[in-house]
Amino acid sequence: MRQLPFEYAFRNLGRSRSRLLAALIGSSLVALLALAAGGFVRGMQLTLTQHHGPNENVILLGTGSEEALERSQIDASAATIAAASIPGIRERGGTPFVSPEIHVALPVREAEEAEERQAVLRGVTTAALLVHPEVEIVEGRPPSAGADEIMVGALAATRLGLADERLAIGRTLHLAGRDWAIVGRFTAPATVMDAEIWVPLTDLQIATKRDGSISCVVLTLGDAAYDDVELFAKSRLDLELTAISERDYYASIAAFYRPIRVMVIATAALIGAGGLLGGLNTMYAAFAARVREIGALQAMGYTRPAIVMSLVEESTFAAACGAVIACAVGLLVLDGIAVRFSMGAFALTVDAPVILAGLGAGLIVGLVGAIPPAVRCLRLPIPEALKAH
Amino acid sequence: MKHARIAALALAPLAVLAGCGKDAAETGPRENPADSAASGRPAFLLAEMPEGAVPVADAKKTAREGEQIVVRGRIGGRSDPMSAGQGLFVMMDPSVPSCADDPEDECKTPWDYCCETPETIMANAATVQVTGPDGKPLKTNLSAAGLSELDEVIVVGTVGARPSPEVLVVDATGIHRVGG
Repeated sequence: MRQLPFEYAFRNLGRSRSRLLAALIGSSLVALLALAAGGFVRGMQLTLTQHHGPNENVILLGTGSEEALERSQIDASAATIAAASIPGIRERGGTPFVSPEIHVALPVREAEEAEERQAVLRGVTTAALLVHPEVEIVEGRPPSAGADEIMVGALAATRLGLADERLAIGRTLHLAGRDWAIVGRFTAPATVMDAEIWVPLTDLQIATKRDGSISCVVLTLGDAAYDDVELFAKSRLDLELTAISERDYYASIAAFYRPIRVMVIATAALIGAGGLLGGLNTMYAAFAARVREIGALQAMGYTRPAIVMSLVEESTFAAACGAVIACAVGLLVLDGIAVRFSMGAFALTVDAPVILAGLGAGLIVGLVGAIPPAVRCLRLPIPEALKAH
Repeated sequence: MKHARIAALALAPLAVLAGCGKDAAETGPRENPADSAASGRPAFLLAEMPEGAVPVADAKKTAREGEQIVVRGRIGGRSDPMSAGQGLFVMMDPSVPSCADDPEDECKTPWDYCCETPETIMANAATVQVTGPDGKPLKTNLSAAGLSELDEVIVVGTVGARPSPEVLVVDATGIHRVGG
């Protein structure tokens, strides 16, 4: 089959600048939509499945509370008993990687009379920084017990619906009836901790009236295996504990949000289909104006498949350029945008798989958008095509 | 000859990997295949019903660390009473009704005894571990051995450490499944 040279398709792109612009905008919008939806789904998934935690952590929580740490209540002594009873827990300098924690959602205010906002708080000791190495203090210092001090995550402001500078070092938040000073800021990218407020464990116990109880114990396996922790939990029935790996816990939370992710993808697909139909419309108009040219090409001996291939090359090249522009905009603008949800907040993540999806969406617009109009234009017999206006 | 050498070099790593590949979860002592080969039943499963079994609640009141015991119970007391990767399970006193005993209850995990109070569960639950020579639970799947939630069992073994009256751990040498 005699093919039309690629330069022919490339030169045709510049024949009508308005049509080229329409094709670029159309495909870039569809690609941008795919990037936004993909970034949302990817960001939520990464945050909830804790992909960035390097430690093999196991959570000991109250029986019957496996689906929500906030509902769990165990004796505070479980932490020291677990540290003493489970051999092989990771340790450094004689300090075991065992972190007793309280997970609670509490209302906070900017000031005593201000509007209430729901925050996710975690009561911790210094062991939390051993167990969660993905947490990095970027400003200030950890809060001291008994001093009404707190430390906030990078996305805590987003979770509260406040400007980031409102949670700067030295500012205060009002919770449990008094003001607490922000003395530190931390980041924990792609984890739920990034949107939390950390409080000294004993202070949060007092503030929430939890006499001698905590939510859970998070420990890091060294030579110990998950089976050792499970043996401890099932042996010490008096402590009423259940063991679950941290990854499995957050994977179950991620499964809970799966319908939302499916809905986002379905919505993006529907809107993308609308964009595709708009692209089809543009192509129909573009090719209809070139019926005589197409008839002339057939008269010169080029077969219909060869002409369709050239038209598709033209459309796909324009769509690919639009998709690349969209990917650049997506990386510069969309990546890192914080989104609030019930468990805290997460950032849109435009990484390699998402960019691939965006490029793919743009290319599909170019490919699928060209074939039906091209085939339609070739239906006319050559003499009628040559006489068309 | 040259092709044979190249083929041998290419296949050698596969042979090494096949010999070395071992799941970390399988590094503990496993059930001895020779013990079960003859009858097809794991060695710790007893065909004959042991005599002199006491229910869990009574055992918790009197059992002392180190003494031999035969205790009767029903697998349950947790949403996941049986460990997937080791010989370890929790059992309840047979006199305590599970959610499955209530025909109107549609609980999907009736073996968790959620119909009972936590105090009742604690007073009537015990832990059973089928131990290996190192004193740790055997790496075995009790479900594959024929045990399941709410099965009534009689356990023969030794009472383990009792840090509090609510804790009763039996290091089992034999388990008989009642009725099967």
